[in-house]
Amino acid sequence: MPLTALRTVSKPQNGVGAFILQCKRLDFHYCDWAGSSRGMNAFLKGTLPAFAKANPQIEITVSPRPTKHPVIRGHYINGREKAICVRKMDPNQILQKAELLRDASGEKLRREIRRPVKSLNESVRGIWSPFHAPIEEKRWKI
Amino acid sequence: MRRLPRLQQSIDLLLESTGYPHAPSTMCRTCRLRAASQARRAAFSTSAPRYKGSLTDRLRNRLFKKEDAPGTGNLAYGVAQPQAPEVEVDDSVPGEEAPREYANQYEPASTWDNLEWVGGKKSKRDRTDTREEVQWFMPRTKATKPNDIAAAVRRALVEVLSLQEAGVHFEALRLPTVSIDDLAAEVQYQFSTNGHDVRLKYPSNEVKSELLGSVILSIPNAAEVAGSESSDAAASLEFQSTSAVVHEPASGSGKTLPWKEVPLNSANKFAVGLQSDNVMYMRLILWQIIKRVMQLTGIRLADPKIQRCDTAGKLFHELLQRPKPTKLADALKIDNELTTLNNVTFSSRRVGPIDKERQVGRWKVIERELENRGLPVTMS
Repeated sequence: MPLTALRTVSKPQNGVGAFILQCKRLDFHYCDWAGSSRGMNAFLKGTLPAFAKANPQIEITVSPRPTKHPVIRGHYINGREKAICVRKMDPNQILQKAELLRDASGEKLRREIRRPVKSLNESVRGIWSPFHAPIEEKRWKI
Repeated sequence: MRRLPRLQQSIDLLLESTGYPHAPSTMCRTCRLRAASQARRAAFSTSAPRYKGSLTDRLRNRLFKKEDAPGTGNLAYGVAQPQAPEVEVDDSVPGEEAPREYANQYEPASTWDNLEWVGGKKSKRDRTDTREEVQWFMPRTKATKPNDIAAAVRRALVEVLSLQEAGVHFEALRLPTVSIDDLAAEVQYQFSTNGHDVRLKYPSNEVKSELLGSVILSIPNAAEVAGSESSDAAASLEFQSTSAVVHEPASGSGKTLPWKEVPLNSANKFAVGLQSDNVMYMRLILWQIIKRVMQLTGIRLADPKIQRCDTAGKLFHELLQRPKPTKLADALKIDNELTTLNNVTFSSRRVGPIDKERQVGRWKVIERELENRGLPVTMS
């Protein structure tokens, strides 16, 4: 009996069996004095409790950063960090930024120019072979 | 001709390596090398020796092109001063004598026991002069319990209104040595017959006499008060208005008031039908009550809040209100919603690199290594 190779039944993919949020921690930094933190302070007072309650799997830390602009910093399970400055933003805009950091994967942002579509089965038609092309079609001359 | 600075030559380097034998050991290496180079320069120098005369004498000699130029010395008083020898060759090696003398006197300290310690609490305490003890207007500790604040308000009401009824100037008010909170709790309040001010209704004459005895320091004569405070027009006005109003018949209307409904700012309410002296007097009573409450509780009230205190109950509520937190962390601590969430932690100060090391449990290792190597630990 010829030896057959092991066939891959399934590939691990986040969300197929269980979904693990890539963002593990969000740091909210504010300043008591600076006017650029006014929206951030209002967000921390008003919106953060609901946001933290809706995302219990994310650790949230709040700490001052005196005389600096307000920042949200996201920590991801791949070890990377992403920080967004939210100076002069109102609480709704800050909430959008927090959700953006929460939903991010932590990977570097890069442009996919050559292959815009990613797929596990990259070609439905399979790999072209010059030996298997039909005769009536123009065969590739080797 | 002025000497030009030259670069360090190789012969100097060789000489430096041999060391300068006369240099004291207390000198640092830089000073020792500088003294050595100056000594060598004096030894090998071919330029003219320097004159030790004053700058004006040297300029005058240059102008007249001779050594004893006319006008050398001090001619301000018409008499030439005896001159020092004009030319003195500076034979001494610069930088050698002074360090030698200094080295004889200098004794390096091995410990810091006998050195002067500058800074710290002890130094500050030693330097402060012994001033007289200042009697503070208010206690430094603030009352926080509602029962204490309520007792203070009732006590202030009783003290000030009893002084008003007795016709005594408010200057006579003193701090009772014994607590009169129990006595003040027994006193009831009722409107006077004219309906403008509040009178006290004592449970018995003994209570009244005891209260007045504990509250009143001394009953000053009107002439004394007017004479002693003639410079202070406002104070004399206070006393005049006091005597004018207090001598009214002090009889109650019969209906008792809860202490929280005792009007305080009735001057605004009845200002239309009253004379200006009476309005001033009512405001004076309000101020006396507020002042007394501040003295008893240690809580300072701002003017807008005082203006809102129409009744004793409102004053009580104003005193109960805590000041608005200035820091966001304090405001978040007061808000229970965030503190109940398990996934939220907040810090009242900046989270620095040491805090981050401490969060991952690495700081104790770093601290131990720093101590082993004799290096200072920045945070304990």
